[in-house]
Amino acid sequence: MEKLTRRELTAGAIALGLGIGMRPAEAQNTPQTPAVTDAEKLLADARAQLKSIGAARRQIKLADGSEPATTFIPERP
Amino acid sequence: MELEFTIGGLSQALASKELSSVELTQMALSRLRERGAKHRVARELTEARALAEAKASDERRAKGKTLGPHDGIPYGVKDLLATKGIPTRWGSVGHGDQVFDYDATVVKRLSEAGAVLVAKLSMIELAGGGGYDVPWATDMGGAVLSSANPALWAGGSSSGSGAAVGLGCLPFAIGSETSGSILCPCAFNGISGIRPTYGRVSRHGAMALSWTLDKIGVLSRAAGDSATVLSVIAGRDPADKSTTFRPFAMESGSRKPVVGVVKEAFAANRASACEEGYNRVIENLRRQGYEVVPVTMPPVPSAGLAVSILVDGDGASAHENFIRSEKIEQMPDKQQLAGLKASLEQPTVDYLWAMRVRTEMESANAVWRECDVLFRPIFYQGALAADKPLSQTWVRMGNTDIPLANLLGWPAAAIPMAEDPVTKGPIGGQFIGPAYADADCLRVAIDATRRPD
Repeated sequence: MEKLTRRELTAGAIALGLGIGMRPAEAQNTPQTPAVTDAEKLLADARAQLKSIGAARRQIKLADGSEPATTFIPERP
Repeated sequence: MELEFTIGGLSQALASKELSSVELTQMALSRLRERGAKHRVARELTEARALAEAKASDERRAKGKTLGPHDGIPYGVKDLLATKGIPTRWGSVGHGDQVFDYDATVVKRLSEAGAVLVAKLSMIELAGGGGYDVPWATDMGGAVLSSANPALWAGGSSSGSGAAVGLGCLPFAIGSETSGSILCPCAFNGISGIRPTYGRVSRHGAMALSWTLDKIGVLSRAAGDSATVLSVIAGRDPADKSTTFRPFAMESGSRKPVVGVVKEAFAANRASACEEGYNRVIENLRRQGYEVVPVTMPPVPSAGLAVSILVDGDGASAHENFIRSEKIEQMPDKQQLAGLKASLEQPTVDYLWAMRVRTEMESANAVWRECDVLFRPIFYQGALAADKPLSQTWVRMGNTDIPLANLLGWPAAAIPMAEDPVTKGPIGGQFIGPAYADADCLRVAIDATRRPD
């Protein structure tokens, strides 16, 4: 597994806290409350964040042939 | 004499006719209106329903036909659970006129056990979907405040459930967790609780945030009360196909569960208050004959990344109509709003990566060869300021396996453990177990909260 940068680790790790928690990059890099009047900028930031999470996850290589978890496990009594 | 506001204490008071369920319900409503209102714990008081349920309970008792220890006991539910004819707003101004015509399965089961629903409790909007940054991401006009100190946040997203119980307005409340939303308010209000195994409790009638992560659980003043409430709400529900057929029961075997501890980063997180409380709990358990052993968590890929991706993907799908509507503009946390909009664009390949890496994370189950339950702090620090964005305050809280445990469906029982000496912010501990070991987690939590002799 390749090592992640500090920012990328933060992106993943901070999402833990609160049931989803704050957006990771902002959590690290925004020193004050964002001026929430600029909706376009916030959306651009959120899209960038989504991309950074995608980039971070691509550094964690999966085993060939691994399969996704199922939505639920059917059980019978 | 001060009435002990636990299920056990109240049940005894009802049985001895010290007070009636109607009187108890009025007392709970009164506490919610007074101390509760100052902390913004309740979105809606369900007074008419509560008094009718309490009256019915008193009538049963008069005939000697009580339904059990929860009969006549008041409780509240996080406002993401459907209640027939009563608004269910999901913490969201944009859902302010939402009313369902049925009760969620959890509410139905509690009603059948005679419990009295007195309030829909406040929460972080949409349980935090999109990623929230401010404690006031609610439909309450502000943050829900910790029962320990009104300058502090009650935690999220089951905020009102935590604060109402911490304030002594209610002996227990129902909350939900996708990744931390029961444990966090337990920690920040100094109370107990249980995040059950995934599939243990029906989610029928609950708002969805992530179909493979959401769990319904209990927050309570006494750890034992979480166990008795779980015994009422757990079990297979045909209306929620993710629910398990496995029964839940508190076992009373003689062998005490082996408690595992990992090397905690107290020093790096400057967490001396947490460390002292943590050591006191271990000492208390050892005195009661528990074996506490050092264990090593197997290395796993980033659980936080996977949770973030899954919640974005599921949340975007579950709330797509709202996200694409004008109502979303009413959200108080504009960063959360932007996060929800952006989440519509999440690549499918990222989502499937998260589900695949989740399979690989099952290797972490190897830790259960070394112990029966793990003991860890919930966070290394106490409750945070209510008036500041989390991006300013979320410092040195630590990574204590909350995302990993949620991804793997593991249960965890929360206990109060310490408090920050300066802010008086409570600090919590958690007993995590393998899937379906809810009873072991609760058993150790009950013993850990016993006062040392």
